[in-house]
Amino acid sequence: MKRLKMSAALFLVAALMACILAACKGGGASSDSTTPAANGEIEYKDEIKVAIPVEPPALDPHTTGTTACRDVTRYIYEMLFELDQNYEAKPQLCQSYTVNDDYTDFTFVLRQGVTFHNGKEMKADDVVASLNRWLGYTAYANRVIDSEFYRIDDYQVGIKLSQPCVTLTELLANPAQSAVIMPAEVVEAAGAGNVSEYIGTGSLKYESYTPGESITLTKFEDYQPPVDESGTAYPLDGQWGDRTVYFNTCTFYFVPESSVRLVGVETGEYDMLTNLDYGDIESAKGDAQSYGLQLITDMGCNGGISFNLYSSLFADDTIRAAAYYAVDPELVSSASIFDSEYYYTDACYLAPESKWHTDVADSEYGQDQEKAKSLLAESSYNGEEIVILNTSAYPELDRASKILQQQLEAVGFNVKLETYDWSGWLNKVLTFEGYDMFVMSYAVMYNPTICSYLYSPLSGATNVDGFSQRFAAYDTATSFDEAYAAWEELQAFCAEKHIIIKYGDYYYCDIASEKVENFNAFMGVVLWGVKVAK
Amino acid sequence: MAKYLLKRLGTSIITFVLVSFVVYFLIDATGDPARQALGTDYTEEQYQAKLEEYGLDAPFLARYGTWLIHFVMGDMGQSFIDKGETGVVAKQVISGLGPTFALASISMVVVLVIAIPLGIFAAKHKNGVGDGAVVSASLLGISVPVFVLCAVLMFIFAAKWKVLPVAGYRSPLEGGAGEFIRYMILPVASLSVLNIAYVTRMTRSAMLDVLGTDYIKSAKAKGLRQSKVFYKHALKNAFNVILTVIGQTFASMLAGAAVVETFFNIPGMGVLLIKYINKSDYNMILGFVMTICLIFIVINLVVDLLYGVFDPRVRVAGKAVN
Repeated sequence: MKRLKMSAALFLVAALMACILAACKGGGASSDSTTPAANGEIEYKDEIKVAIPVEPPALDPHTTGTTACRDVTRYIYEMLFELDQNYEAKPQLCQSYTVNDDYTDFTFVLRQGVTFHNGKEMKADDVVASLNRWLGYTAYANRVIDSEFYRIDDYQVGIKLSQPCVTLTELLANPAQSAVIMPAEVVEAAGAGNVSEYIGTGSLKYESYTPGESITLTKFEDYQPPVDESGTAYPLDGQWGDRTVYFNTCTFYFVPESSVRLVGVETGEYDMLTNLDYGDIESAKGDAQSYGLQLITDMGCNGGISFNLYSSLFADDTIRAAAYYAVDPELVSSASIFDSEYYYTDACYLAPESKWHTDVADSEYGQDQEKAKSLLAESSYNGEEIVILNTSAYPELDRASKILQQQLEAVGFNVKLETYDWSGWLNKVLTFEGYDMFVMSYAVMYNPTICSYLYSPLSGATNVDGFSQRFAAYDTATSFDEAYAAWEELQAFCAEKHIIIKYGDYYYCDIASEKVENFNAFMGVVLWGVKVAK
Repeated sequence: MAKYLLKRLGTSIITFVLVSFVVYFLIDATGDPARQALGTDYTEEQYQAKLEEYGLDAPFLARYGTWLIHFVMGDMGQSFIDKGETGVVAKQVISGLGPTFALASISMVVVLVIAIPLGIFAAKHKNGVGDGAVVSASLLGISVPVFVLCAVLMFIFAAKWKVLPVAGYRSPLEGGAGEFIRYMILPVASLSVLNIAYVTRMTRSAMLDVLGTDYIKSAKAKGLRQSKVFYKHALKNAFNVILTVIGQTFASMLAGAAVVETFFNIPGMGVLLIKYINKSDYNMILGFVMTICLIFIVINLVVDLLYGVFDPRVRVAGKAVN
């Protein structure tokens, strides 16, 4: 009897092992070599899988300016204008536009025959509803756009401004909190909240969303790219041009662990990943050959150290200057990002590829410890505790904050680091009380109007005497040259007054398997034109 | 037995109400959804209007009472942030429960199949080589952090040997049983190890306590076979303790699998709760936390009832009280 029980137990264990092994054999990672079809041509996958680090808080680009939202919704929606590789705004959903000499009266001629995912043709009513909604939510836009868009006819939209806006088309092309076009009825149904239907004109349409897991988009067969006079689609350049996709389904998986995203691409679970943690890049480089990985850099964002200019010691120019010269941007960037291939230090607030980039701030940039100590000694600072508001939600910002603390202490500041989770940090920073500095990163800024260091209440720049009139001079310029000159003066002023310590611009590391063709990135991984071999 | 059942049910309801009050108070006291929604630039009038829109202008007790009644009727409300279908709290809770329940249930079966026999084995061979091996192994299992285990298992089975997928969840209704099991193996293994170690130790301890009693000595002195002493007498008497441990373990797996879920990208309760905490989505946090509390209360109630089923002394004591 005992032997029978033992045999039965062994049989059950063997059966269990057999089940597990059978399960292991099923499916699995894709093969290591590309499989040519019988006629020698490469076969491509119908479904691609992308691992992204953060789940979008909402799929509503009008209300949500996060990169997580941008990275998914850029495939669902399009804007009147899109940015090319040089951050120039070019017509995408509009055919052309006209503007008067002083940039106050704009008329946008829409492309005809462009359809939404629900089959409805895009017309002026949809554009007007979308743009006015976007305007209501977007601080950088409604600061300079003081009236509403209006319908001229079915295919023309206009806006008349009381003051010039030289950069209007660039604002309409901003991928962060973007002026996407959606059907008027979707806008109306949303009311004061987020949209609940995700209908755009993009080459991918919304299919399904599993909170905490994934979002799936499918190919929009009736997608129409912008074409030239001969009817040929403009080739993709940045975000502008032909956004045709060559697969049927794309699923974005939310995988917060960076190492899991990397292993996922190495084993074929995912075809590509975005934004690998900087601590894992060395490992990825080491694995690149053996696992057949492609690594690319993608201009990510820039990091800035902000002062609380409302209610802290740093409202004092001399104390602020002392802190400014205490910081070594190179060291902060290095501690934050590690690999110098993924960052560079630059005084200008805007991206180097942008036509607005300037080097007028370079002379005030960089560490000078002796100057910092001297300024601190002559200031009214008496050893009061300086609080740096930190968040553990973003490791690179956490590292930057810790180095910042060390550098400030080295010149004589008494510094405390207060660390919160993300929602706690947001709640605290919006009170403008109880802290003196914080470290934050911002999406690529290619234009002064969208530069958070200038317009955001968090920067406190408007509290500095002389800032507002210089910003207004830029805002009211009536030509690009005039605006550029005003911007240069404003940038020089900000550097002289030490409003922000911009410690660096940094790139993201995006990775794909070797089977991915046309893998590239522009303000996020670009799936248009991508093919993934089986 | 019926009176025992009613008494336990009554206690559970009171516990639920008390816990819900404390949870509601804590979440209400630490968040401001109106300010969160308005951002950095608003007037006092706008703030008051937002409070009214969210129903947050009513007195605390009135709000709590309304919320409790709706919760009991299955209506957990709507997210303040997400007005669409994905903002219906009950829907999100149910969507998270499925994967978490699957993960916890399979892990629980694995734990029971391995831990109880191991615990009995160790108790049987107390101070022997076998006992030493089991105790050492369980100590190791308790000591290794779950996230380390997740990483090691993933490295070996997914990255190195490539026999299992690295992460993800496939519902059995969509991908079939085979895919479901394949994606569950590593998460279940990660979640089970710690709990196997814990239940093994508790089983061993409970068995040793019972094995030291006079009636067990009498049974042995009577000449009963060792297996009968162990399984018919000792295990039965130790089972109440083991049952309590099983209940606690299952409840904690349902509530606390967030690390495993995050690592393996499983859209369960833990992952969703963290997501809504990061968004400060007040109503969602309340819905998820109260659901977890309810799970604990229900499991404890079931365990209490099972005491009565497995242990006649509990049923007799209940009658004697009456």
